[in-house]
Order: sequence, then structure tokens, then C-alpha cells
Amino acid sequence: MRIADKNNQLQVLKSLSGNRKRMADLQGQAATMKKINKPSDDPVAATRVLESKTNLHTAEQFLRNSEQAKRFLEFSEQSLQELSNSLIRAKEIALSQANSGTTNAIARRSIAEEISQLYEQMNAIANRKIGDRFIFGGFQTMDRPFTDGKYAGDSGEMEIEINGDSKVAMNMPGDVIFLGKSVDPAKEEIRQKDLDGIEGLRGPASVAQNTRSIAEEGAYDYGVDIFRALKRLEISLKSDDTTGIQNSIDLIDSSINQVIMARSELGSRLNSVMNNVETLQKNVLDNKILVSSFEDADAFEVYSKLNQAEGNLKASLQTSGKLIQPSLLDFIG
Amino acid sequence: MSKLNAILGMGKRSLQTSQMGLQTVSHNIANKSTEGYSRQRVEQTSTPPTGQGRVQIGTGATVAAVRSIKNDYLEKQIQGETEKLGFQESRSENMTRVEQVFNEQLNKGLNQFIGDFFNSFRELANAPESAASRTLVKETAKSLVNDFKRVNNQLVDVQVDIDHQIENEVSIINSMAKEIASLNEKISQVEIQGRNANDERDRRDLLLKKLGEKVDIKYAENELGQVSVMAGSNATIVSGFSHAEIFAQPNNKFEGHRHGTVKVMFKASETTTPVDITRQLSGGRIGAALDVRDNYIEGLLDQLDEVAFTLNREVNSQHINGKDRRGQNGVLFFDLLQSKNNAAANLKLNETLENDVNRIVAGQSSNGPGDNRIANSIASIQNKKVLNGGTASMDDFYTSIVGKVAVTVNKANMSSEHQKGIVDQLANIRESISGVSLDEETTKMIELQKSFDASARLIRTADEMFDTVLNIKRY
Repeated sequence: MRIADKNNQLQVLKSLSGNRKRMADLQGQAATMKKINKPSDDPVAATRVLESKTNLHTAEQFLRNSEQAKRFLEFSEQSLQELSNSLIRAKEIALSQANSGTTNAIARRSIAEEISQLYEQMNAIANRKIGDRFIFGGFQTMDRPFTDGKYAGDSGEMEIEINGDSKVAMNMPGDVIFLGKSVDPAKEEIRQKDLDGIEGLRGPASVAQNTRSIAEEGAYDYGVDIFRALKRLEISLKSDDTTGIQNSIDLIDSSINQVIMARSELGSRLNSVMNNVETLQKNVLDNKILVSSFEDADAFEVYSKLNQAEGNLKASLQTSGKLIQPSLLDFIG
Repeated sequence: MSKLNAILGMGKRSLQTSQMGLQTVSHNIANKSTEGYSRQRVEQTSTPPTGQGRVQIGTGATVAAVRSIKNDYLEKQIQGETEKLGFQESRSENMTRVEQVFNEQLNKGLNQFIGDFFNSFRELANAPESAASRTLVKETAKSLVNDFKRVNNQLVDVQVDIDHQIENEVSIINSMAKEIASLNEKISQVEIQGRNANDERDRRDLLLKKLGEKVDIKYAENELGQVSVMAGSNATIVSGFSHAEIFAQPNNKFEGHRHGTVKVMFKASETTTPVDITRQLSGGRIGAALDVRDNYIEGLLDQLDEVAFTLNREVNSQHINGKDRRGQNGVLFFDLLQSKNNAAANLKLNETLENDVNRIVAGQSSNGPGDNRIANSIASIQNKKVLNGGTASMDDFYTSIVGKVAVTVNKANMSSEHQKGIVDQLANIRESISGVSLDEETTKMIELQKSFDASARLIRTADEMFDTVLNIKRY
């Protein structure tokens, strides 16, 4: 092939600009320590990175959510533990006072005072708050849910998204725990009817009669109004009504069961939150690794490539000088 | 006697041919770096011999022609490939600018703002009573709206910039068309006298290549050596000695276009009405710029609008179902958008919410500060398949937009590199045929100088011979 002067020039320019471009690319990678500085550097990787970053972003939010749910659930659970302790104490008292032979009316009246205190304690538990928020009021987080055994809350469950496809309720409405409201609407109707029956009556004895029928129905079918149960015990103690006390034992037993069931429900929710936290943490880590493997430059690789490119550039500069300079004119006089 | 005269005459012609040869050598050397120049060679032929008795005697040499050394087919091929290169380069340049709009590698982009927006609703679901989480929702919503605007505006900026490019290219095309027309005139004037218009042809070939880089052209040469040039499919911009103008005209905003995008108009003569030839231009830099502007960016804007519109619709439909912090009925979250058109640019947070964050809805019931059901359902829109006919979530859709842009830019860059390689290769072949080599010219120079010297010596010898003949009588 005939080589004109321009051929040499084109050749030199091409190799120089190629080398300079490679240098610039590698320089960019070294400066940012990223392999991908714009999506077109590697479209597949860039898309994956974007997806992973979105996942990461949401997973981190879900972790925050889980943290929140965990706090609520743990606090509720802990409160209920205190509640069952109080109820167990009440049961002990009831048992010790149920027998007419072992104690007397005066002792009962004075021990009724402790029940009254337990009642207050229970009331305090029912009105527990995290920050400004009452935890047992359903959606009614800003108002006291329980006043004198009356529920002012609702049955709202605050669901928290802890994963893309699952939510967990971080609270348990107070009426379920304290008033034995059933989550099953059919049973709830029966219970409501019974309660209405009680509501209409006055006086400890008649109330006792009605509650007895509830107790006989079995504690698992529908729940117990724990406030009433304690109140009943207190009244029975004060009025020295041993039948009442004995009935109360059943009621308090049912109450304890009710609280235990609520606790185990909270516990299982907490458990699933904790399991989910582990999944999320792994998810976060996986995504971080994925993002890094796609977009982070390997420092060693970049620098060695940079060195190589620099060598190439120097070599082509050197040979370029040799290629362009000499001509016949340099050798004729 | 006549023989001696003949030697003098031959010497003179020989001086002339070597001189012309040297002149051409110096022309070559001078134009070594001239773009599009093809080296020229003097074609010498021997002059017809004369008969003397039984022999034929030569009468010397003369210059038959000065010819350019070039391969016309190769020139045409380079012209075609340069046109493709112009297209690919312009496409790659403009697409790279589009890509920057979607580049979230180093900066925060729309994808993250969408994520932040939905996360703020998750925060609201965590604490629906709080005013702080409502403020967070408001702020992230505002950032999201701004980023939709940013993406929209930056895309429109690229379109506007392409308009400027087109205006620029069009004026260059006109000046080139004018020069080609005047070269046509010169070439036919020179060649009608039987000479070769080498330099004019080189220049015209170069202009045709440059013109093709700007826009797709078709051209043909007639028997007079004049080329007619057609831009697009039928806008004749050069015909014989005359040329016609094309110009860029700002588009009327109300013709269904969103922005003041310019049209390319062709005016055949002073008296004819200009015709819109925008759709005809499909090659060269203008073709690529138009393609990016009218097809690619418009498509992206449409998709962006689709995302904004869907976001607007989905969030609003949830938000109005709820009750705000004071138990009032929920208002629209974003101002209602009537159509998808310009949704990204028109997306706006409802002013009522902007002025009073308590109007932001978290719950469904009018009396439940802890109710977070609506906040939850708004957050869940993020993963709902609401786009592409119910097959893609907002994240999927947006990621696929970015993916498509990335692939297109990547391909455009590669095609551009590839095409550059082809053109470089052809340019190399062209130079190897038509390029000036100093070594060659120097050799030629020495050769011609020697024959010039020899011719001069010949004339002196003839002169001495005359002397000899004239002095015969004295002895």
C-alpha cells in the first residue's frame, strides 16, 4: 500500500486519541471509584443497580417500620405481663378468701383494699402510653381509652408494613384484652347480649348470677370483662359473699387465660417482626453487595489498568514522533 | 538547418514540461494539508515524430493533461458513510445529554424521590398522630413534584438545544449549497475548454461530503459536469448554477406540539411558498437530531407523563377516601390533572395541604388519630401494578425507562464508534490513493530538476552547434 503523509498522521491521531480516551475513562473510574458513572456504561448493570437501590431504600424503611412495630409490641407485651401478674395475685387472694372457714368478713374487707389497688394498677396498665400515644385505645391514641372500666377507644388495629407484601398490627385494641371482645363477630353478638343483660341489673348477687352463666359457658368461647371481674371480687370480698368470691375465681381464671392469649398473640406478632427483621437485614446486605459488585470499581484493577494505559500512551507518543518526523528532505543537501 | 532549429525547439518544450511538472509538484506540496485535496500529476506524452528519409525522428515531449489521482467511486462511498457518521455522532451526542437527565449513578434522581415519597407515607403510617410525619410527607411530595419538573424541563431543554443545532446546521447547508452552485459554474466553464477542473472538483467533493454529514442528500452529475443536490427526498437545493434556500422556522405551539420546536422549510425560489420538509430529513446530523427530538424525547416525555398521571390518580383516589387529622373529609393530594398531556410538568401538590399539613390524610375514620389505613394504602401504591396495563409498578416502569435509555445510548455510542472506524478506514484508503507524499514529491522534484538542467544544456549545445555551423565559412 502506498503511504502518503496523511496516512501516518491519521494513524498517529487515531492511536493517540484512542489512548487518551481510555486514560480519561480510567481516570474517571479512579476518581469516583465506580465502574458505572452513567447508565450507558453498562445498561444491564445500571438497571440492576437502580432496582437494588430501590429495594435497599424500601428495605431500610421497612426496618424502621419493624423497629417501630417492635417497640409497640414489646411494650404491649410487657404491660400484659404485668397485668397477668396482677391477676394472678388477685386469684391468690380470691382462693385464700373463698373458704368461709379460714377467714372472716373483717379480713375480707381489708383485703378487698388490695384488690382495689390491683384494679387501679390494671387501670393504669390499660392506659399505658408510648410517647403521646395510648397503646390500648385502637385508633384512639390521643384519648384515655379506659375510665372506670369503660372503653373509649375503638377496635382499630394500626397495621405497619414490615415487608412488601406483609403488614403486622402493632397494637391490640384494649377492648379485646380488657373487655374480652371477641374478634369473631358472631360470638361478639352473644357476648354483647349477655353484657346487656348484666348492664340492666344492679347489685352484686344478681350480677354474680349472670356472670356465672358466662363463666359456665367456658372462658374460651368469649371473653371476660376483666375490670368487672375484679370489681366483682372486690364487692364480694367487701360484702363477704363467698359464692361471689368463688365465682370470681372462675372469672379471674378466664381473665388470666384471656390475657395469656392476648400475650401469645402479641408474642407471635413480635416473633414474626423479629424474623422479618432478620430477612430485611439480609436483604439490605444482599442489595448492598449487589450494588457494590455492579458499580464499584476494583481499585487494584483500575490502577493497574491506568498504569497500562499510561504506558501505552507514552509508547504511542514516542513512536508517533518517530513516524512523523523523518522525510527524504532531511537527507538531501 | 531545420534539424538544429528542431533541437532548440525541443529543448524549449522540454524546459516547459519540466517546469510545469515542477509547478505541479509545488502545488502538491503546498496543498499537502488541504482538506479533500487529491494529488495531481502531469501527464506527458511524446510529440508526433517526423519522417526523414527512411527514419522517424522524435520531436520531444509535451504536457497532455494535469490530472487528479483519485477514485471517484471511493469518494462516493466516503460521502455515503460520512452521512451515516454524521447521523450516528449527532444521535450519540444528543442521546448522551438525554441520558444525563436519567443518570442516578452519582446524584439523586426521580427513582429515589419516588421511593422517598412512598417511604414518607410509611413514616406517616408509623405515627399518624404526628404533625412532623405530615410535614415529612409534604416535603417529600414537593421534592418529588420538583423532580418530575426537573426531568421534564431538562428533556425539553435538550429539545430546545436541538432546535438551535438545526438552525445552525441549516445556515451552514445554505452556504455550502451556494458554494457548490458556484463551483458547478466554474467546473463547466473550465471543462468546456477540454481542461480538467481538478481543484474545483476536489473542493466540490469535499463540500458534498460535508453536506451529507449535515443532512441526507442525493446528488448526480450531468454531462456538463454540474451536480444537482437534493436534500431529503425532493428538496432540490442545488441545480446547475443556482441554489435554493432551506431555513428553520419556529413551530407554532398550537399545532399539537408541546414546545416551540422548529421545522425545516424549503423555499424553491423567491416566489414559491415554503414547504415543510422536516419529515423528509432522515439522515446526517439534522436527521438524527430530529429523530431524537421528535421521536425519542417525545416518547420519554409521554412515558414520564404516564408515571406522573398515574401517581396523581392513584394517590388522589386514596387520599380523598380518608379523613384528615381534624376528622374532615380528605381533599385531593395533588391538583387534579385532566389529561396525561404534560402531566409531569403540571403535577402540583394541592395548595390546601401545602398551607396546612394537618389536611394530609392518614386514616379512614373521622375519629381516630391512630388510624393509619389510608397512609398504608398510599404507601402500597409503590408496589401496585398500576402501569403498562397493570403489568408494571411505578418503580418497574421507571427503571425500565432508564434501562431503555441506557441501552439506546450504549448502542448509539457503539454505532458511532463503529461508523467512525469505517470512515477512518475509507479515509486511509483515500489518502493512500490521493494523499500527497513528501518523499514522492521530493523525488519527483529532483527528477524534474535534472531534466530541466538537461534541457537547458541541450539548448546550449544547440547554440554551440549553431556557432560551429556559422563559423564554417571563416576557415
